[in-house]
Amino acid sequence: MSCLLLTFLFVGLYISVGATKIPFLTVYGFLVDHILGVTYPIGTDEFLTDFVIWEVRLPRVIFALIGGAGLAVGGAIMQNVMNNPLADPYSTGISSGACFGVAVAMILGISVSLGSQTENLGVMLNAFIFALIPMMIIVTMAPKMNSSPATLILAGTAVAYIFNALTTVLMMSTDAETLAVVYQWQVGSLSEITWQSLPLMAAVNMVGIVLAMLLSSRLNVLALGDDSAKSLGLNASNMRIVCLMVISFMVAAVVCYAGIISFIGLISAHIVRTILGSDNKFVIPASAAFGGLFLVLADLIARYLSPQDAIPVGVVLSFIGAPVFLALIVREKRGVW
Amino acid sequence: MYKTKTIAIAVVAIIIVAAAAIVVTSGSGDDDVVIESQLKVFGNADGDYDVDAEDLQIINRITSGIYDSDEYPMADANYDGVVNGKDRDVVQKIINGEPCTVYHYNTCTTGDYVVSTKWPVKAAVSTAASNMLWISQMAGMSDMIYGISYSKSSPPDPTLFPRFSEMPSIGSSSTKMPIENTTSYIKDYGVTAVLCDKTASTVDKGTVEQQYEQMGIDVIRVNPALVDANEYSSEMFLLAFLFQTDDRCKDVAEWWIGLQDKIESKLEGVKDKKTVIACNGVPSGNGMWLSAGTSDYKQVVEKAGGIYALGDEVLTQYTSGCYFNWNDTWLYNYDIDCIINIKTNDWYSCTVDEKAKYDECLGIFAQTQAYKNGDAAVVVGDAPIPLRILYSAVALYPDLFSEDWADEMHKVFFDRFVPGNTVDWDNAFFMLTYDMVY
Repeated sequence: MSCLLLTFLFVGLYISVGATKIPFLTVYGFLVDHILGVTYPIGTDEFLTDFVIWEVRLPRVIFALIGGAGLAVGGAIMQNVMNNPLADPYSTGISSGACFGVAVAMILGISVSLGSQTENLGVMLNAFIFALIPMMIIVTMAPKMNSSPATLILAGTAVAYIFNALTTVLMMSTDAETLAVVYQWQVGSLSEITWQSLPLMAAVNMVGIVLAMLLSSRLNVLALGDDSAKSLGLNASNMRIVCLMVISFMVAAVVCYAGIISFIGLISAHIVRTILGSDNKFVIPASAAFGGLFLVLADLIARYLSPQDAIPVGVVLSFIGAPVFLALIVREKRGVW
Repeated sequence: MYKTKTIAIAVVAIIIVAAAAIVVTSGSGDDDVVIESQLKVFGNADGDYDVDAEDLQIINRITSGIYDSDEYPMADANYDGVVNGKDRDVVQKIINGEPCTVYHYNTCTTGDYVVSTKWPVKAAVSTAASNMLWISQMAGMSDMIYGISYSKSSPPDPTLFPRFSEMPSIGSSSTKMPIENTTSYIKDYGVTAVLCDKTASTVDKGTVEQQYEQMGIDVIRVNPALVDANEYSSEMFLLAFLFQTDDRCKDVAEWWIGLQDKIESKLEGVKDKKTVIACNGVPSGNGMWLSAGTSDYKQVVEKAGGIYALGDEVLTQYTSGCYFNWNDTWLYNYDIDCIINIKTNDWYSCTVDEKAKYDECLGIFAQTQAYKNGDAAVVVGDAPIPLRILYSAVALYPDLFSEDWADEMHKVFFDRFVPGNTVDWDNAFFMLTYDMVY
């Protein structure tokens, strides 16, 4: 209940902030009026305010909530299945793989497409397919790297570098127009989000979050180790692969619209575990709530600092997440594991 | 005797007046210019550069069955697929200057498309790449632009665009026009249109443009980088039509087409055209960017009478050029008579360090035969396109086109079409050659 209230307040605050300042309570008035079907003559101040709220800021904040939740849950699952407190889609290279898939679709025009109506789905499928590559590398290498969580993350970082380099090679060969679009993806930004961006991303991430919640008890079993899991009747390898594929899908859905959003999964899951412990029955939904609000807050900061949208949310998250990431590497706190 | 003297004085006076009239009216030679530009607005039935009574006549003849509407595709003024009395009404409103909705082509990299615009446009915001500001200036409607969007690293030149240089940027770059940032301009100035260039990702055609249309704000796209005078003027006439600055635009079009005709007539006598390459800027980590392929700088030097030395074989990575680095040698295999760097920045502020600029812009070509022969020049890239062509022609054929003449035409252009400019013409120069520097 408190999470819902907090979300309600954050959404109002988010929408009130921007190049056009809208009073906090006025936001809710306009939202209610719009839902009730109130319309305004085109060109009037009320029309413009309603338009900015409903067509510009509302889809963006909803995307941040759902996308942030999805990335946070992805991070929580990944940390659980990899038994690594530093794992998240960004640090393991999955986001970079997905971004490369987007670049292939955008620059080379090669994508899995079922027709003009499913162009977005094609780009997302591209992102998913290429996100699987770092995922498979991580799955293959993880059993061989038990010495230190940081080692696996270094491997993930190396994979991320490879895909970032491949993306850069593609970017070097394209025209300035496509280059600017792909660069935006590499940085991570919510500035281009519209209502059209939501359906596919929301569907994939919400299904993924629900699935994660349904699998929470099995994730708890997996956290005990492969041998314990086997003795309790759980096929750890299959479970790991299923979870990572679900994460790859969720990440791909976010990346293909907003680009690489870093550190959400890492920070959210960690903070939640610090407070609630490591029972996934609570960690998964709490990470979802925290991650959504965290991304909303980060984008709010970005928009507050630059009303012209010159600072992408990915930059703000890197400024916040990188020091946290470093602190976690140094401490390698495994108390919650 | 007295009568004879009176007659003689009268004849002399008439001759003097007639001579003065000839001098005044023949100063620009604009009246001899034929404008072949096309106004891409539906209702412009005859396909010339304006909407007038002749178009109304054609529509009347189509509606009465004398003419076939298929032969006049632009006669459908309200773009409803039929040419009838409604189209006549729209054209009549345009002629009368009454507000109405007009349909026209937007130029776009993904294909030109038809849009509607509330006419006339009285207030707009615009993306502020230099070429966009120039086309607005030349079309005579820059006073009706109340907001611009540019990147902090490339603000409008204060000497060329004093009014624009004082405006804060709406977005973070010259390709973005964030909707919520524009709403204050819509409220304060009654902005009804957004101007941008033809690139589909500028004011993104698929998302942002659709949102603007939902708000009742029209998005107008033009190509401000065309090199041919008539083609450029077509884009200019569109803006002038929408903003009702047709007369001014016609003056500019006549001036430029006249200039282009003069250049072409002088070049007709050239039997062996020179081979040339164009570049812009200074070398970066990858080397110097050489224009080729689809580059408009290549078209500038071709319009100036050059034969482009680089073919499509150099387009191994990019479609509009390639890099030549300090250690590269491939360029020496080409027969290049002249190298022209079309460089922006500092020309109009008269702060150019001649030798430094020349070395910076052309030093990388020091081993080419063109450089060694002294046939490498830097020309002003901040100027509007006709003047870039002019100075390129001077660099290519100094025997045919003098720098003094180019400077004179430059000043004429500014005096006529850039009112209030503060250029220090006595100290400004707009090209650098080897002889000037060394």
